[in-house]
Amino acid sequence: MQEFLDEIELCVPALRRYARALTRNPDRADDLVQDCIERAIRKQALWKPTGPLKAWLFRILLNLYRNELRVARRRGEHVAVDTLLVEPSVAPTQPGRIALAEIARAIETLAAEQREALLLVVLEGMSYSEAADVLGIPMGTLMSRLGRARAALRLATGAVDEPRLRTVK
Amino acid sequence: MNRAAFEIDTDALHAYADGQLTAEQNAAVEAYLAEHPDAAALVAQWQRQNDAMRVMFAPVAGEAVPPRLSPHAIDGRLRAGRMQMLRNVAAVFLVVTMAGSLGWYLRGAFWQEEPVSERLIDNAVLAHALYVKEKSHAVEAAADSPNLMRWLSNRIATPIDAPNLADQGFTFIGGRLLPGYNEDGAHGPAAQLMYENAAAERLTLYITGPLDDKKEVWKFENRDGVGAYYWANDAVTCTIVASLPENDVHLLGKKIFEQLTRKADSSWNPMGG
Repeated sequence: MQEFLDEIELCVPALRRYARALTRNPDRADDLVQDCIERAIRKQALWKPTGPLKAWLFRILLNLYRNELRVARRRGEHVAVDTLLVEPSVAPTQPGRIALAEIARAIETLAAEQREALLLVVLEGMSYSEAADVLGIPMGTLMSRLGRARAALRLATGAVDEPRLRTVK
Repeated sequence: MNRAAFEIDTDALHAYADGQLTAEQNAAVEAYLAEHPDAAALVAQWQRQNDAMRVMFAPVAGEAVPPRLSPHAIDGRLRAGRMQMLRNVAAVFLVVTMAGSLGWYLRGAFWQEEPVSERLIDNAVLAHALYVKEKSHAVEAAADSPNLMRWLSNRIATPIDAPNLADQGFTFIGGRLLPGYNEDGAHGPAAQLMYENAAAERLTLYITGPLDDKKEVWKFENRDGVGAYYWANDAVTCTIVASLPENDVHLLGKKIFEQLTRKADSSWNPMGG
C-alpha cells in the first residue's frame, strides 16, 4: 500500500499540470486531482499492476473532468470562459511567437476531445500510443484529433495567413 | 511510426513536431522540410503552439504540491473516515443494544406483574365475602362430614387439618373447594375452611399448597373492611380473612399457622393417607 501511494505521489505533479491546462483554474484543477487520488486509492483493487499506473491515473482524471463538464453543461454554466490566469509573458508583437494569451484563449475554444488529446501529447509528452491508450481511442483517431486541434489553433490565433501545406505526400 | 514503412505524410510531420521520431526519421523529415517551405512553415507553427502550451503550463509541475494532494494524507483521511463510520455504526449498535437491555431490565418498573400473593389474597377476600353471608349453605361440606379434610388435602396436594381454634372461641363449621391460583397462571384448587364464634362472627381460611419459590412471607392487608392475613412458607400458603381487629387476627394467625405447618410438614402420603 505504501508503495502504491508512493507511486501515485510521483504522478501528482503531472496530474496537476494536466488538470490545470484542462481547466485553467488552479482550484478546480487541484480538486480534480484530489478526487482522482481518492478514487485511485479506493479502487486500488481495480488497478491491474500489469498496466502503467500513470495511464490509469490519467484515465481516472479524465473521467472526472468529463463528468464535471457534463454536469456544468447541464446546469448551463460557462466553464471558466473568461478566467484567463496566465497573462502573456511574451510580447505579442514579438515576431514568430504566438501570444500566450491568444493561444490560451484558443485552447479554450477547442472541442474537449481535441484539447484532451493535444495536451496529453504536447504538455505531458506522452507517446502517441500512450495517449491513445489513456483516451481509449485508436491511433488514427488520435492523429485526426491532433490535426484538427492544431488547425483550430491556427485559425483561432489568426495564423492562417501563413503559408498552407498544400500537398503532403 | 513503423521504420520499414516510414514515409513523410501528415502524421510524420506531427510526429516530428512532437519529437516522437527516431534520429533517422528526424533526419528524413528535416530533409523533406528543407525542400518544402510550406510544410516547414506549418511544422514551425505547430512547434510554436507546442512551445506556448509548455511555457504556460509546464511550470505547474514544478510548483510545490499542496499538502491536501498528498496520497498518503488522502489515504489517511479515507481510513479515518472509514474508522469514523465504523465507530458510528458501533455507537449506534451500542445505543440500540443498551436501550434494548435497559428497556428489558426496566420492563418490571412499567409493567409490573401482580405478585401471586396478591392474587391469592384477592381470591381469599372475595370468597370470604361471598360465603360468610350464607345461612344454610355457608360450607360445601360440614365439619363432621367423613373424610372432609382428606378430600381437601388431596385436592390441594397438601396435608392439612382444620386448626383447632376453640381457645379463641371459634368453632370449625366446614369447608369447600375453590379455584386457587398458580404462578404459571393455571387455576389450581384451594380449600376454604370456615369458623364461627358465639357472636356468629365468621372467619375463613383460604389454603393452597406452597408456592414455587417456597419463600416465607407474612403480610397483613385491609381489604374492603376485612383483615387479610397472608402467610406463605415451604409447606403451605394460607390467607386468614376476618372482620376482626388486626391484633386479634394476628393472634388467630399464630395458632392457625402453627397447626397447619405442623401437619403439612409431617410425613404425609396423599395416596396412602
